[in-house]
Amino acid sequence: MQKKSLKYVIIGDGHAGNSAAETLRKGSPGSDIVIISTKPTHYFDHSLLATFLLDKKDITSLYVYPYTWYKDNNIRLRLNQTVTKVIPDKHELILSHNERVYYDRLLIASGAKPKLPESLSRYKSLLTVFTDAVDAMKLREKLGTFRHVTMVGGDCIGLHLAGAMLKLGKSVTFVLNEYNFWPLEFDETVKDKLIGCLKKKHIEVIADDMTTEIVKDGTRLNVLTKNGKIVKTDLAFLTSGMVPNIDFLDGSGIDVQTGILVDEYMHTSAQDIWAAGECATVYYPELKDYRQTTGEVNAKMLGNISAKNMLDEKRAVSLAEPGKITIEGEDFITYGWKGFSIDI
Amino acid sequence: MTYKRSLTIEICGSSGDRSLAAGEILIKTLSDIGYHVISFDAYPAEIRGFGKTVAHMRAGREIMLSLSSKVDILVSLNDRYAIEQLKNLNDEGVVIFDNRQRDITYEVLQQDEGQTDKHHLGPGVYTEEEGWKEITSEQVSIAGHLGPGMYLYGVPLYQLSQKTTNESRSRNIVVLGSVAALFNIPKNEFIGNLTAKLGKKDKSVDSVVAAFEEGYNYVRENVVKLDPYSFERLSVDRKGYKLMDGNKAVAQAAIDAGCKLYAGYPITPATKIMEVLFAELPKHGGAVVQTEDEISAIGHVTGAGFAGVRAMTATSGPGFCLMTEFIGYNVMSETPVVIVDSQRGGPATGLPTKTEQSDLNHALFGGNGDTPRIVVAPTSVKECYQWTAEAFYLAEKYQMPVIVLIDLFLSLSVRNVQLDPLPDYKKGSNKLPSQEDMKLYLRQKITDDGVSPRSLPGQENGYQVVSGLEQNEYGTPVYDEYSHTVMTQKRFRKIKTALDHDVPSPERIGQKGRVKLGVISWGSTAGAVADAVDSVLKEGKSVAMLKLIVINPLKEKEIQAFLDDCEKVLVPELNYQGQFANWLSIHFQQKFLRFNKVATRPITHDEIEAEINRLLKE
Repeated sequence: MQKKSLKYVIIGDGHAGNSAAETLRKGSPGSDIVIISTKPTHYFDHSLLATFLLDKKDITSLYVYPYTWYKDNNIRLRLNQTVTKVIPDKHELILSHNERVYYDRLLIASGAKPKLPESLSRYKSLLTVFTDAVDAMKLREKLGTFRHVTMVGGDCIGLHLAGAMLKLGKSVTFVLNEYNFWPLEFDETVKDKLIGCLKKKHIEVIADDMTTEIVKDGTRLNVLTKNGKIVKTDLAFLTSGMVPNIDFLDGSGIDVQTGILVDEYMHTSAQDIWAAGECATVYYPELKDYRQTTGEVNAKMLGNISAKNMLDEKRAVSLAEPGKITIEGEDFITYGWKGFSIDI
Repeated sequence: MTYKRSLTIEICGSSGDRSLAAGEILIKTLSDIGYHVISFDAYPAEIRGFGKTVAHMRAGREIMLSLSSKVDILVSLNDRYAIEQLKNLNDEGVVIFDNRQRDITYEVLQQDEGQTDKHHLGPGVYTEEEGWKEITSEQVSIAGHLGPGMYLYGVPLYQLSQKTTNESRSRNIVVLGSVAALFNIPKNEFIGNLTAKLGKKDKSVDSVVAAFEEGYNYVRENVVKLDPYSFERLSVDRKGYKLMDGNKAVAQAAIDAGCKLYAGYPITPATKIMEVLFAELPKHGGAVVQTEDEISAIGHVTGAGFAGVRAMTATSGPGFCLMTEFIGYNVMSETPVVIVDSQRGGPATGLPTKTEQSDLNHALFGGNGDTPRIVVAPTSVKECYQWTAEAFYLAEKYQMPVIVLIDLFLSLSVRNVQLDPLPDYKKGSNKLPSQEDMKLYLRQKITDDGVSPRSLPGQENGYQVVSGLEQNEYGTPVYDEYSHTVMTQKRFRKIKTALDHDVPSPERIGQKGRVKLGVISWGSTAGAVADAVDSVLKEGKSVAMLKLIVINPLKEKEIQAFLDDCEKVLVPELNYQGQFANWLSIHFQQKFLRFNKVATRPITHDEIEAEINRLLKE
């Protein structure tokens, strides 16, 4: 328990950020706790995004906590506000509206963003993303305008979305590349099993191939693959996994590789700054190596551990039990994801 | 509009940010697309300089008579001031702010540069109360002060304003474009009102419209709307409705009632009455005189009244005090005048830009001697029109001063109203002498109704002496007991006649028969009471209200009947003493529960509703 009342700032309103905020509040009842998030929506449950497409529920149905939870816990929530710079020497953040925010201790839990393969970067405007509550809201508004969707790449979010699309009577094509299906432990056996399961669901699977080009064709799109296939579709979803969302750290001096490098106590290379969740690349003593973490289970755990360390309780990380998703009765091992399935 | 019966919007800035101009355009547009509106702006007392300025408006599908304490949408043109407004924002309210301001701390430093004292260096702010105080950008940016359920939308107001008009002052127009896009307000109506307002004096209308479009397009392209509020066009016929404030309604009534002379001295909040009449009265054969002070103003009006011309002056508390001597003079000389007092916070110069209902004692009792006068207090903008016109009729018919008691809230509150045309008989009510009367003209003839036939200057054989002295039937100054007694009785008899013939019964609203709680209200507070009573009635509560417009003379029989129906009676008003409750106590043997505020702002319906609920639980 800390004696001095500090100001804790958390960048990110996801699983890691909220888990940390809860722990900090319990451990330091008198401190200032601020969550800053670029997203306009509240902390939501990712596993509900696809089912949200199927009903008419309000967006608040996705939220994990009602806003009164933050009020009751005296946690200041700053939504729709973007951190553009971190200045560790001054213990300061700069927001996009030029406000400078002071912190005593900072947790970066800015999560991940959809991975856009370099080869497809010029087709960004033709790709649809489906990673947060706003994406779900926008997609629900135009459900009546399309019949066929294509998943560009393979990831669990795409699987989940495909499940919703099937329920809505849309036809679905996956264009899988030969190397991965984020974030499954992926090898030839898993791949064959996965393809089999998808086909049982009447999903077209183009395997061992990759999308190389997307071309507008009137109101529709043509998705072209390396092996010369052309998929005529209405919407092309970017489902190639996620990468850490850490662009705002450029010039901060904080060490990053794929994500923000943190030690087993979730501390970054900068004083009084910790990182947790999908933005962090964590050193695991069991592995004697760093690992990029993904998924809700890991994020919550790491957010909690970070907060304990921010409260000066020395807590080291340990590997979480792998998660699993199930398709057509078959289990697939994931790193930290749960609640996602094509069988929604 | 979705979800709520009405929405309240505030545009908050510093003086010079033109937030009131933006509010004016917004409320006009909402009215044009079918909404009932009510607005009331707050601004600093100083004419120029720094200070918080807030355009405050409420819009809904149903008629509303009062403001809400709570705000649903807060637009910030100046975060430091808007932060103070957050305490009024609903838990799920919306904030629109400039998300690309110049460096906030730097702006504070700019203000600092004007200071010569070296201790004033560094980011901070200087106030007379607290001196130099260090301040951080976190303290001056509204973004960090919202509650967790509120919606924050950022628009680069400064940048877009610079881009389109090459100056930052068009941020108020950019933000109107953003408001239109966010809340689905039809764009064309907005632009029409914008150009109509600016067209007369601003040659660069195109660039201003471009500023509006930039704000609109930015929101459409960049902002994800999550709040539930919108103002889609309503399919209702608003033909015949006019958007006006209480001052304009008073001025319009004066014109329509045949006022031919207005004399006044400028004073907040009544000045606009004179401004409107300056422009309009000459077109109707009248004249406006800006006098050297309020004493002169009522002197002019008294002279016109003596000459048989309908005349009016309008003022506020301090000016009304100066006019007091003439009230007595008008009573004694039986000269018709209409005096409008738009009350503001007092005493003395008091609070020039804040509302209050604290001139009632002065209106009822001001002056020496026994000075009967009629006092009316309209409760809405529409009634400002009706009862100013009625005041001319009553003043002329009963040859006495009629005081129209409004307040700053009514004066400046804009609403869309449908005015009923005045009946012709109201346009001339002089009791002129008959041929028989002219055989031996008695200016102060004793009559059953107390009203003596009045000759007008120039009328053959209608000569009269006019002074402030007591008089006999000929009008000759006298000092005897008999004359003073019968003349005093005659002057008070006119009040009784007016009561019997021209004072309508007070309006009862709400549950009929016995009720647990009755609310008696007067002046602008009656709107808040009506809205509150309407709300609690929907919850099945046993409540009724009585709305009094004519404050003197009182319809005692009807009021007593209402009191007999009520287990308890509440009298809310905007003064410390409970002046109206005291006035009622003189007339009725009844305990009145009081709800008094000197809050510098109108009482809101939710405040009254809370008080009603509290009393019902007791």
